[in-house]
Amino acid sequence: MIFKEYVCPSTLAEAYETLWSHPGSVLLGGCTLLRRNTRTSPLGIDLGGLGLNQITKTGTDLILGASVSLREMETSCGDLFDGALCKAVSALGGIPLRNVITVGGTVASRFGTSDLLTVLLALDTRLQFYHSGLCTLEEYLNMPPLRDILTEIHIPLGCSRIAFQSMRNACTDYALLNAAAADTACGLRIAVGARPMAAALSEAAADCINRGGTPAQAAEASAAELKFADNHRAGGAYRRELCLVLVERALKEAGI
Amino acid sequence: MTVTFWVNGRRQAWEVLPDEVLADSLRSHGFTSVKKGCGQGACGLCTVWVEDKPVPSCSVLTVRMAGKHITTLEGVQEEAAAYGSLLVAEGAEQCGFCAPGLIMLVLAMKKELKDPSEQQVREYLNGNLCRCSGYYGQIRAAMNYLQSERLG
Repeated sequence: MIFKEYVCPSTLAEAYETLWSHPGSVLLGGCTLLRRNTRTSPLGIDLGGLGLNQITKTGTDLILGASVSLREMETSCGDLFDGALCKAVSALGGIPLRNVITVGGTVASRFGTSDLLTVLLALDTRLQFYHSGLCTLEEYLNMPPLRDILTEIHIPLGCSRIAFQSMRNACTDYALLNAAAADTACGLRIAVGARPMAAALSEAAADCINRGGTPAQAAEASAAELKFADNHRAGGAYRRELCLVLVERALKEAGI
Repeated sequence: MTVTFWVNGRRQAWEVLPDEVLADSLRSHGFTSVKKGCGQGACGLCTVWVEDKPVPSCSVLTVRMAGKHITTLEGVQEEAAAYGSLLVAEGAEQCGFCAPGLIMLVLAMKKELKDPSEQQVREYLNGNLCRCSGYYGQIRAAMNYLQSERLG
């Protein structure tokens, strides 16, 4: 990506006003994917000066500032959620790259290939936007494009068990498919991502388990419910087959 | 636009484009230890330190470096030679292109990890690629380096 001008606002209000007063301007998160984007933007708005790099634990939630790097998240929160946050990012390049990629950039971009989105969706994550306020990650994944600034990622701490599974051609490649199964305070949540579309919840799989079904039956329900498609990495039909395996494995690993 | 920061302990003020990446800026100012492989942060060749943390300089905007301390291989020559000599002893220095980035990462690993196992070393160095070797030489050299540093 080329951008002709650069600013680094010192307040959220200034950043938001700049975003809206400059059509075509882009928010700069980790910036690691800029080279893969061929757009030209008139203005890059750096979020680095806004102090969004805090990690806070309240009585109910883990709150990650949007500018927290994946490596900071790994090293600070690795013991939470059965290590699922670490597992979800360990395949992403190397530590230098994870020192730069931000949680906010990953979430806001809604990448289909993201392992972290799948884990966060299973954990019933909420997103705090500067102007729009709080919404669930599920709502955000189904919204039209939102011209707003993601400031915080809130992950409820009431998850007793979670497991993450993925299938990839090489250990540092993007997943062909990923899945996460979590037993949270608000019930079972089974998410499947890299379909190649971004993560989605399988209500049918959760219902199946709640009615006494086995992990294999729940996996069949998720494969029937969710949509899969072709891309250069895998075909939709193959992804459906992977779903049968990964959802079952995730449920078994989580002891659900 | 002009950006002011430190490189290897010396203050710099460079005129850069808004979307210029640190690898290009460093190389154009003579810090040619920084190699460019993929240009996407996936190969690790361009690894430098920003505030002592290893980053892929091809994927970091120079304009974001205002006020920060950057370290390249040119700035850690003594420590680099210590690991580099072990790398050579293991036959892991072949074309040499991956070495600067790898050395920067190994030196960063020594600061960050306390007494890591070989598996932890492998996981830390994952993401820095070498086209010549099968990585065994680099890993042996890294373990030998950590051992020698522990023994003083």
